[in-house]
Amino acid sequence: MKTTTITVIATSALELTKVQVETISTAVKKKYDVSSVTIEKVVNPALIGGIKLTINSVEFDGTVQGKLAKIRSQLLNQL
Amino acid sequence: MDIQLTQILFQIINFSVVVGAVGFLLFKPVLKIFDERAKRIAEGEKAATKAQTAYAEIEKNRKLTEASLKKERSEIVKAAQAEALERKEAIIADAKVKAKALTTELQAQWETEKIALFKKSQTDMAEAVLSISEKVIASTLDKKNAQKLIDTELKEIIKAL
Repeated sequence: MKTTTITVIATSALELTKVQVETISTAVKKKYDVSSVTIEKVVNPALIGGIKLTINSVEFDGTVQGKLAKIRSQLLNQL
Repeated sequence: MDIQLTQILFQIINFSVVVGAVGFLLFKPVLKIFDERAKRIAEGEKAATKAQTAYAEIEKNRKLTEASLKKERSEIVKAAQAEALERKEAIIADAKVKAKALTTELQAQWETEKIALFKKSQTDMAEAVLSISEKVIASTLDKKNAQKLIDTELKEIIKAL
């Protein structure tokens, strides 16, 4: 395991629970092989629901707003 | 009244003298006048005949010229009619080509506009559906379900890491 620290921006519509924060930390440590994870929590009600993680400038979007935006984009591309 | 023979004789002699004198003095000038008159009449007749011939010639020329002009006029009218017909056909043909091009252009324009309108209506409908969906989800998603949704999405994200 490397001794580096990675920062994760967790954006959600609601405040994350401790369990959710712990889940993120554990998963990121494991996947990125780092010793510590800093989680910056951002609450944004405009997301409607779900969660979005930004790790090393890479976004993992699981929000309702993101899914609707994806559907919108797909629909508009098909038209 | 008695007839006096001497008087008659005297009158005869007197008359004869007068006739002789007048004949001697006036016969040649009068003849000359008659000759000149006859000559003038002959010249006049000759001139009249000449004038008549000239008139006939002029009349003949006039008729010929008139016929020629009539023919020329007829030819000009025919040529003008033919040219007008040709121009008319050319104008109609040109108008048909232009009308066809315009129709094609308008049809293409209409097709493009139709497609754009159809696309816009579809886009508007999709936007409306998504907007309504967003509002419905936002209004129906309570705190408990929102947390469940975060858990579910978190699992998916972790899988994708």
